[in-house]
Amino acid sequence: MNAVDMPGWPRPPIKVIPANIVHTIAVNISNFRDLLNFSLVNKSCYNEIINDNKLWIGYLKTIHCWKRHGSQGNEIGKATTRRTSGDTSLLIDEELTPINCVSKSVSDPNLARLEFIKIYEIMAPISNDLLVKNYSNFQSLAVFKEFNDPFDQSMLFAGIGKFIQIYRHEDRYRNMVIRLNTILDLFVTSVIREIEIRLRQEDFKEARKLISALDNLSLDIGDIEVDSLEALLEFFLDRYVETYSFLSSMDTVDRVLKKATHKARGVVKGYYLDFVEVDTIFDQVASLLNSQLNEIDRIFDTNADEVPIVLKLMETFLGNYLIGGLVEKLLNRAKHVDGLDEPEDLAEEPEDEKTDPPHVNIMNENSLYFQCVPFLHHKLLSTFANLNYPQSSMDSSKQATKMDYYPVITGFINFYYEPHLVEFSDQLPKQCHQSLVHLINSWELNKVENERMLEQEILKFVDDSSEAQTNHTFDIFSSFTNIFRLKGAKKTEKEEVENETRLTKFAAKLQILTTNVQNIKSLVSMDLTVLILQHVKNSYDLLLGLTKNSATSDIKASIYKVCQDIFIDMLSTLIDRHIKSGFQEALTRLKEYNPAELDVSVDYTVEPLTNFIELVNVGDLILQMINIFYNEELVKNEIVETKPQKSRDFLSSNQCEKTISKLEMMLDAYVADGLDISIGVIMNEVNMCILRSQVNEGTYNLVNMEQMGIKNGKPSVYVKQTVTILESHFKMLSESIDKAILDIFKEEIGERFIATFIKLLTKKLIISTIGAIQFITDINYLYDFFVRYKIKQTVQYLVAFKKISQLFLIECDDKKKCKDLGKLVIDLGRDNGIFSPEEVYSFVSRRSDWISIKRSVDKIMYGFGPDDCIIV
Amino acid sequence: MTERKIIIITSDGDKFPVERKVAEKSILIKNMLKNLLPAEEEEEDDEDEDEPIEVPTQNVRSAVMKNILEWCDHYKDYNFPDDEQDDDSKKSAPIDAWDKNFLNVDQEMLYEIILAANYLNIKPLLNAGCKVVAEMIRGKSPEEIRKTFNIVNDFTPEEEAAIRRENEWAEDR
Repeated sequence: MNAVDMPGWPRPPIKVIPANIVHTIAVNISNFRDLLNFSLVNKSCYNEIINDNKLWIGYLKTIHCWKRHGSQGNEIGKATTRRTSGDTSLLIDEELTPINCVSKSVSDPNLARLEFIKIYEIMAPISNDLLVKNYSNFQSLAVFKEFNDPFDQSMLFAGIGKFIQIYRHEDRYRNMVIRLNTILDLFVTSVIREIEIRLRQEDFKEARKLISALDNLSLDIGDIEVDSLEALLEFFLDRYVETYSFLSSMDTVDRVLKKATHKARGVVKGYYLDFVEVDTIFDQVASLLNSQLNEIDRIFDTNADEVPIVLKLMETFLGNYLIGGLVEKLLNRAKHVDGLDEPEDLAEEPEDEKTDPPHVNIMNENSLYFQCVPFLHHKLLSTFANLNYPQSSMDSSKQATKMDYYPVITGFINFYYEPHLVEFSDQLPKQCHQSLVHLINSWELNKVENERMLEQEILKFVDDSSEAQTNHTFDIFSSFTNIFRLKGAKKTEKEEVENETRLTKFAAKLQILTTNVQNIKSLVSMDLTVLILQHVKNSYDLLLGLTKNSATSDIKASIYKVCQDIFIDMLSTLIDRHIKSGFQEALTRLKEYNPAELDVSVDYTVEPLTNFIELVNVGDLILQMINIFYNEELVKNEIVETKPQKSRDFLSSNQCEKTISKLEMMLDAYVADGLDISIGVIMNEVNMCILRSQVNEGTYNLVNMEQMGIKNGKPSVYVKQTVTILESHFKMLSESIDKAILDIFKEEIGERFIATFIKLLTKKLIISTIGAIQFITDINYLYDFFVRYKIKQTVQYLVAFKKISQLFLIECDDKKKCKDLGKLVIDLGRDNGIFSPEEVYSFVSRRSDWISIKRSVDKIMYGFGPDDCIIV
Repeated sequence: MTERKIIIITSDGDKFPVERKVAEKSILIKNMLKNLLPAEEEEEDDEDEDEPIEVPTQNVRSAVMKNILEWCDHYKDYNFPDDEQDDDSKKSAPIDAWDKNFLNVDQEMLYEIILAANYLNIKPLLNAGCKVVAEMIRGKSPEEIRKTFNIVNDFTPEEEAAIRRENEWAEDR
């Protein structure tokens, strides 16, 4: 409709359109020409529009030439890739050219229209010529003749890319973009071709300029799709790819995994891993990459542009050629070889050529795969750690920081290596178990001679892992000794004289155990335990070290699970294959001990018991070592989640802790069994001693004081020896077992001794009144001993025996005295309570003169003697 | 509690009773009501509670107000985003289909709606109206634009020639 077609327009014609309406219409006009036409409808409209700074600022913003006053950085594109003139503010007098006009920024609102018009005047005709009139060869355009340098041209293209944004709500925009993208592709290709030529000529200066030209095109605007970085990257990859091809060749695999000529350590199924060759290949890789990095370094300015190129190049190299190529082929071949049958015709290794290849240890000697995975990982990390990366800096916010490539590269390594690490960690427990069993078996077979060799074997592990781990090697040994010392030190103050050697209780024990008691070592060995723990720790280091830089929480969790499994398996293996058999052997020896078969020993202790007690100590120390190991390695490294020690009970404890308590309980049970057997053994020893001392009827049946005089107030030999036997055992036990158990043990011994003594008294001994003095001496001696060891029950018996001994002291040469004796027997049987009247009677019947006084005594006791019974 | 009635009185004296949220699409009326109505808490004790509030709008005649209120009613439950958005995105946003149909009126009414929207401060409506105008301007010469909207050309021929010369830079060459 048109005002002309509408006669009788009811409203008066519009003279002034309100400013706000003019502005709102203007911002909604998408075509710049329409805006100009609209501005020309009348004076007020014209003035409104030319003075509408907001409108013109909007246009500047569209072509990325507006910069709010005082704002930091710039509004344009990628923050990291701007160089040179990008954010310089526009100076009014400066000459604007097609090259620079769109790369300036305006920040004065009052200049917005003026500057926009200037830019428009320059850029609109060029854009039109290039993108609308569609010249077949853009290089023939006048402007490209004027600016024929690729750097200038790239600036021009960047400017055009920004400028045509003012058309983007118009229909023609689509075609303009398509055309521009096509031209840019051609341009980038030709620049890259040029770079290639320059690099061939080693003209790094020119190459550097060309790369800067490409960098100018790193636009992030609208629909301009040219990705010069990607193109550049492709160029570098293409350029270097050929030099990587040796990594994909099977020849290289054959160079590393070779057929063996004869059997040797580390040879698996007729093949072996040539570690030296791996070193050579990685050296080759390093020098190749260094030369390429050097080239990149020389043709890029010291800015961030090379960072993505270097990273992408390294990632592609690792992913496609090194890990994805060679390493994968090697590992596949290694697995394949591991699965082969043992070749029959392989000659034995000549004795004189026996070598111990580095990096081969008990865990990997039977598997090329296990030789490969940690070693290759180690080579990857060390090789890439030592490359000569360019000195790149990153423009992060204000300050340029130096780019640290290695952590990112480590991330790549671990990312691409991860599948192998996961597979490795899956198989590690099995391998660890087998080598553990092997370790224990060879220990058992060859005990002492093998010890040093095994130790070295264990220590050999370390050389494959990174240096940091080397420092930890002996930690495990020292931490044990430290802790033992520490524990001992606390006790030292309480203990007395013994400490002359300044050896603490624990350290002393440790010393005894490791030096003197060879046969104990053969049963259960602390050294072996230390070796085993070190072995487990090595496995952990391997696992944790391999995944140190890459672990996602999933992988971490599964690695930790593997560590726990290894720990539990280690403990179960140690218990089942070593500790259990050791203790059972010790118990058997204890049971089979027959004092009669042995020579009279100088030492009054029972040897198997000594051994057993020392074994208990060894067991206890092993338990402590395992606890320390568990706390140091698993708890502190957060491999296991634990509750605080105090609130730990069986239900809340984890699988590892349950296995430890299993060992604890097992040791307790062995101690109980051992003591039980030991009591028997000690009592046998006592019995033997009594037998050997030839205790008989004559022992107390002395007839005159001369016989008494020989004794000279000393206890009888058998009593003295019995006390010595018991005392030495008590002493020994008090150092090594729990007091509560020891008390029970002592009471049991006391009781059995009393039983033995009563038997001896009632069956064997005859006591004369003179001999009674000796008897009393012996009783007192025993009494003192049992009082000293606070064995109450037994002391009570001996108190009773002291009274009983009076029965033997009384002379019975007349009826009255017999009567007194009878009364005494009645009294003792009555109030004492320990012995029944019958028992007292049986004791008194051991008097040497019993036959002659029996009648008289019986009469007192029963009113008549058996002799008074006359059969009628 | 019932809401107090709002009655909008046009320049020609017509009265339009409206819901408050409809009326408040106009920022002008919203601000007026804020001053006229007591705070919410006191409202209960107000004895004049049932008395409707009258809002006079001197510049809008009844025929236009009818249209304006139709628009406001359509959008009464819709919250427009803050008008702080870029002019540039205004340009790119296509006109809403309902708005387009609603604004399919003769130029006189369209211009009056735009004027009223500007006066009543209803930014989304103003923008929609101007967008329609911008579309109508497309490809037209200044003279054709004047004719379409009945705008008086107050340039002298000399002035116009001078300005044309001044703007030659913008000619597509």
